[in-house]
Amino acid sequence: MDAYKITEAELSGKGVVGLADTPRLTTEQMQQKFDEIAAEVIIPKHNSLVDKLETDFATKTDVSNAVFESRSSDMTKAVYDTDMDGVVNDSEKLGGEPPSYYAAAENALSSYESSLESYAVLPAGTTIYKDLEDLTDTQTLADETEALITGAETLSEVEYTIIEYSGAAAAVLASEAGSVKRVHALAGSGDNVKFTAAADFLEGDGFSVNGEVVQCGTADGEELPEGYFKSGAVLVCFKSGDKLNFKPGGSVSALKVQSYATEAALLADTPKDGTIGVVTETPITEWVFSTTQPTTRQDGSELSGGELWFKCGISSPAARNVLKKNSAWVYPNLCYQYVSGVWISKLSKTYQDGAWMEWSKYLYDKGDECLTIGGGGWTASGFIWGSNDPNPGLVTKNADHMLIGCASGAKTTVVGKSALIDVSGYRTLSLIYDVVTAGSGSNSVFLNVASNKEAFHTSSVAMARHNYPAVGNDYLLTGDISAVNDSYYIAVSTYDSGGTLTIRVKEVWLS
Amino acid sequence: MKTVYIDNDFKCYTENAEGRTAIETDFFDGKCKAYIEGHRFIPEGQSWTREDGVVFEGEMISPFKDSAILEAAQAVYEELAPVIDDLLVAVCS
Repeated sequence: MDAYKITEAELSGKGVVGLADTPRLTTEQMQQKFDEIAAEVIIPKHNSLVDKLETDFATKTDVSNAVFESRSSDMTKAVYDTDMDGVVNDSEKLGGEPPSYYAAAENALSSYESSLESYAVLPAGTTIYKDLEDLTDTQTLADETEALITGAETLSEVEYTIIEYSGAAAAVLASEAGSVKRVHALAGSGDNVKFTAAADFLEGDGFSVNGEVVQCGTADGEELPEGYFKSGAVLVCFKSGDKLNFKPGGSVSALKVQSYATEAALLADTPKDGTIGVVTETPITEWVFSTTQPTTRQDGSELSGGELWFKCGISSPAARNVLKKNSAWVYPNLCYQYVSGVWISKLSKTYQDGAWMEWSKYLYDKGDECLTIGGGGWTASGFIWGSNDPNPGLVTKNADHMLIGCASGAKTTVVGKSALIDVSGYRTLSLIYDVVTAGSGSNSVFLNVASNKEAFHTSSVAMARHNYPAVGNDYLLTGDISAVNDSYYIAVSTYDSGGTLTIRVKEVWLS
Repeated sequence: MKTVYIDNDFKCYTENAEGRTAIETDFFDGKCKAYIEGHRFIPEGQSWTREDGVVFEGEMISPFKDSAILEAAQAVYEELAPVIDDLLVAVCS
């Protein structure tokens, strides 16, 4: 800052000091003499200083934003000087070194150009490493090259492992098993580390310090989650041995969604516990857990394709908390992806306890008869209660429900899947329906698991039943099938001794 | 219509005992003792909570023993019942 001081030499000969008692100057020359110091010395220095401050120094707002983005907004005196003695707690750990000793660690990551979220242009001369664990095995790019930096796709032309930018203090990209992930390379000395992120933190990213790979995690022992920091954020952490300890990230997502081209590829993978695998070749743009079909993207914009909808129910074998702290439990039953203007059903499973777990198996879903399960669609039959004499069932299949009615006179309508369904491994059978016409006699709605589809009510091994259901409600009828092992017929039926109980079947599923 | 007896955990029995409640149902018509006593019956208006926390409202009937074993027992019963009947007729004649 010395360049902005006004020196004696710069003032020498300027102004009215030193003029003769009778200056013999014109009026205009005298006015100039009076203004000389301000116009030629003070104003240029002042403007130059303002320019310097605007370009090189952060404003209070800049600092606030940077601290906020670094998730360190609680860095207040009350937190870091709890005994209020004017000395930061544990500052003795600096080892008596002045702050300038650690200045080399600041801005250790230089920025680099990343033209797209998923790709980065690597300039010629970029250093490429073969292995995260061995940063000495390198090669140098001869030409500018575009490299994938996210996802699990395999690079076909050039097998990148770690790619370093801009010399020693640089952001680095790395590869594991064919995919390219970032290594954030820090350079400097000391254990109190502060740096400006040159790239977003993605799940699986790593760190190196002065070329040595180090572990990273939060102070409470958790891994750094996807999106822990964004490019440009100022981060503060403490290096302990070979680990960088960051501040806990709070209630962030604990969920990872991974796409696979085929079910075989999904089954062959062993990802992190809790990973949701979706079999799709359409890139996933965003996802949402919801009981209802999304009509927009999460920011309110129009659906553009690739969005995933994890349809949730009230229970699921893949139920999980999607937050690392606090709780937000979701119960995914089905997965749909928005492709070419429609929601397409996609196979999804959750990797849990070392194996892929199936979600619920839908047998009927609002007009979808789930034809690939249970020998095709739903077929109707009926009988007269007590005699088992056949009686045609009354069923109408509509766009979003099946209408089941039963004629009066102790007649029953049964609508069931055509073939046996292996229910082994499922624990609950559920039905959602509502009533269109209430029964007037003794009347019931049944959900049956039976061994003989010609005689559901006498061959049932499990059964749930609602008596006298009323118009106006959506009913959930559930049966415990946790001890039902093997293949059985599944059916919904209605009975009315004196009227015409009619219901709309909306959903039937195993979970 | 058959009378069965349920305990506090809604497990079914063919014989009454202290703490059991009588239930009338046609679900178990023609079923053998082993089959009946492998089931749980939750009457209308009551509920049962499975060990994983899922609540089932009555009326609900479901096996708590492996359904394949219960079905096998019932099949044997149905196969032997006529034979036993014939034997008893022969003995008594």
